[in-house]
Amino acid sequence: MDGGAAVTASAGARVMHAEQAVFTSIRSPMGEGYRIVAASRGISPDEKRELVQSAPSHGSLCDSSPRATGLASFALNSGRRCIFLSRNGGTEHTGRGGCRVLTWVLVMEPEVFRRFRCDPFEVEGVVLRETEGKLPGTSPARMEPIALPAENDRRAAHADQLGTPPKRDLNQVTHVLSAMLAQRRTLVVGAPSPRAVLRLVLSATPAARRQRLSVSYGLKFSPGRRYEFILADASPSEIERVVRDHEIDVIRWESLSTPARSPFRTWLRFVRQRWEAGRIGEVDQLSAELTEDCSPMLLERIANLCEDLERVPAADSSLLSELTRRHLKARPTADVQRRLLSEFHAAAEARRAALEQAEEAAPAEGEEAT
Amino acid sequence: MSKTVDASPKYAPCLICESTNAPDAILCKQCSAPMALVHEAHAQEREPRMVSILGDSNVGKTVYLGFLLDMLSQRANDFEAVPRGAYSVDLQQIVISHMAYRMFPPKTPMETDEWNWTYYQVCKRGSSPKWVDLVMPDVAGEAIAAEVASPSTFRIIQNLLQKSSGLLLLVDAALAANGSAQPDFFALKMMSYIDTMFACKRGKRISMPVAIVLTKADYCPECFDSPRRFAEANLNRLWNVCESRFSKVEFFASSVVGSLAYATAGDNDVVTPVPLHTALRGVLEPFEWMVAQL
Repeated sequence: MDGGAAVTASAGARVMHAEQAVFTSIRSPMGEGYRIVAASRGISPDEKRELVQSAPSHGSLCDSSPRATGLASFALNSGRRCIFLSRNGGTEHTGRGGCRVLTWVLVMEPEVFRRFRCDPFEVEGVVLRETEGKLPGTSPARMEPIALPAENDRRAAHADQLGTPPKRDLNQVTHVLSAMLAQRRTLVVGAPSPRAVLRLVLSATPAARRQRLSVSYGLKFSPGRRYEFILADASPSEIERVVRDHEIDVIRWESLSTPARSPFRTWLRFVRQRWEAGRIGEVDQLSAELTEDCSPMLLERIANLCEDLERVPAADSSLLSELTRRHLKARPTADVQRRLLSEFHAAAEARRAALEQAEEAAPAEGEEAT
Repeated sequence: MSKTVDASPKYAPCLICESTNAPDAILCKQCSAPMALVHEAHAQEREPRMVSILGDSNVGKTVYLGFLLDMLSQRANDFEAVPRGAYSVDLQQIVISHMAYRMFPPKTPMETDEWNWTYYQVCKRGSSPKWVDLVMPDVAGEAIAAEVASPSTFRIIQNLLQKSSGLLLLVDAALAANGSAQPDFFALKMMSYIDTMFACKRGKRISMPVAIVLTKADYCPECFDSPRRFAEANLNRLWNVCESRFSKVEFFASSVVGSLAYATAGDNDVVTPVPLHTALRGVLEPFEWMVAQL
C-alpha cells in the first residue's frame, strides 16, 4: 500500500480522495480480454489481485441489456473499501456475442468511506456528480485519484434519491432488512428492482454494520465474489447449486412468507412505519448516526425513544408522566441515543410547561365565564 | 501413473484443489471444479490424467477443444471416446451449435464456476488398446493471463497445472505471422511460469509433454508446411525457452474455420467475424501426440 497511504481523509478535510481503476475487456498492444486496463498509482499489487479475482467479466451482469448496471461494495484484505460500479459498455470487441462489462473501481481508506456514511450509493452519487454522470471510457490514458467533495453538498442530493417503496413490497423489503441485520450470508433472488431494494435496506441499516458489510446487486452470484448480501437473479438450477455448495440463505422475493420472529422486531416495526409514512430520509439519517455497534436492544431503545419523542407534543399530563418515567433511568450507550434522550427531556419539559400554563389559564377562563 | 483413487465420496475432496466438500456438493466450494469429476474418478477406480489447454484470450481454446471432443466422439482416426457425464458434452454442443449458426461461441467468463469441464474416457483402437481418462477444462484466457502475471490470483490454474500430465498451449499463429509480438510474449510467460512451478534443477529439463498448437493457421498456410520452422521464425522467444527448458515439446499447426466473413452492425463500429464454414485441419494431431506421450 505504498501510494495508498497518501490518500486519506483527515477528520475535517473538505476534499477527500479515492483511488480508481477500470476493469474491462479491450484489445491493446499489451494483451487482450478482461483485465485492469488503467489504474491510479495508489492501488497496490495485492489489491489489484483481489480486484481481478472478483470483478465481473463477460456476461456477469444479471441483465444483458445495454442499460444494465451493477454495484458491489466490500472490504479488501488491506482494510480499504472497494466499490465496483459496473455497466454494460457496448458490444464486446471480439464480436463473440454479448456486451462488454465495464467496471469502474474505487478504492478508499475506511475513514473516507465513513465520511460517506458507509453507504456505497452515496459514494456513487458523488463520483457521478463529479464526472457529470459519466463512467471512465474503456481505455483512459491515465488515471489519478478522484477528488470527492465536501460533506454538506452531498447530503441533500442523497436524500432526494431514496424513493418510497411501493406498499405491496413493504413486507418483502422489511424481510430483507431483517436478514441484513441478522448478519447471515444471504442471496436475494427475484427482487423487482434490486438497486432500489438494496438502497432502501442499506438506508435502514446502522452505519456501524454497513461499515463491515459486503453487498452487491446486479452481478451474478460467483464463488469469487464472497459477499455477505447479494441481490441477483438466478435460475432455479443455479439457486439449487448455490444452496448446496455454499453456506448461504436464499430469499425468494415472490415466495416470501411472514418474516420469522427477529430479535430486531421493534426496529423493523419502527422502520416499516416510517417507510409507510414516506419518512425515508428520517430513517436514513438515524441509521447514519448509528456508528457504534448496535445490539437488538440498543435499536429497540432508539426506536422506542423516537416513537415516544413523537408522542410528547400531544401527550396529556398522565401520558407525559408515564413517558418521562419510562426514560428516567435510561443510561445511553450511543451518541444518537444521548441526542434523542436530551431532545426527549427538552420536549417533555416544554410540554409540561405548556400543560401547566394551560391548567393555570383554565380556572381563570372559568372565573371570567361565571 | 495409474493409481487407484482412494477418495471416499463421503468426504468428497476436490480432484483439483483437494478441498473437502459436502457429499452432495455440485461444484467445489473452493475452486468451482465439478464434484462429478471426483465421483466419476472414484467409479473408475483409477486416477484420471489431466490435460490442460492453455492460451491467451481469443486464441481459440473453446473452439479447438469443442471440435477436438466432437471429433473424438465421432471416432475420428480410430479413436473412441466416451463422455463421463452429460456436463462433459456441454462445451462440444455449445461450439458445434454456434458454428452451425455461423457464430463463434461466446467468450468464456473469468468466473471459475462458469467454466466448462470435460471428462472423457479415450482409447485409440489398435492391437493393444489402452483406455485413458482425460479431464480437460476450458479455462478463460484472461484468468490464465492474470495468474501468470500475478501467481495465486487464480489458484485453480496453479493446482490444475500441478496435476496435469500434459499441456496443450495454443498460440495465435495468424497474429504472430502478422508481426505481433504478443503471442510470443504470452507463450514465453506461460512457459516460464510452468518452468518456475516445476522448479527443476539447473541443466535438467521439464519432462511434461507440451504440444504447442499454432491456431488460426489458415491465415498463414506456410505454418502447415513446417510448424517448427514457423515457430522458430515467428515465435523465437517461445522456441528458445522450449529448447532450453522442456524435453518433450512438439509444434502443430491447426485451423478450424474454412472461410470467414466480416460484418458490421448499423449502430456501432464493431466488426464481427462470421465463420461461413468449418474446415478442420490439424485438430486431432496434437491430441494424438499427447496421448502417445502419457
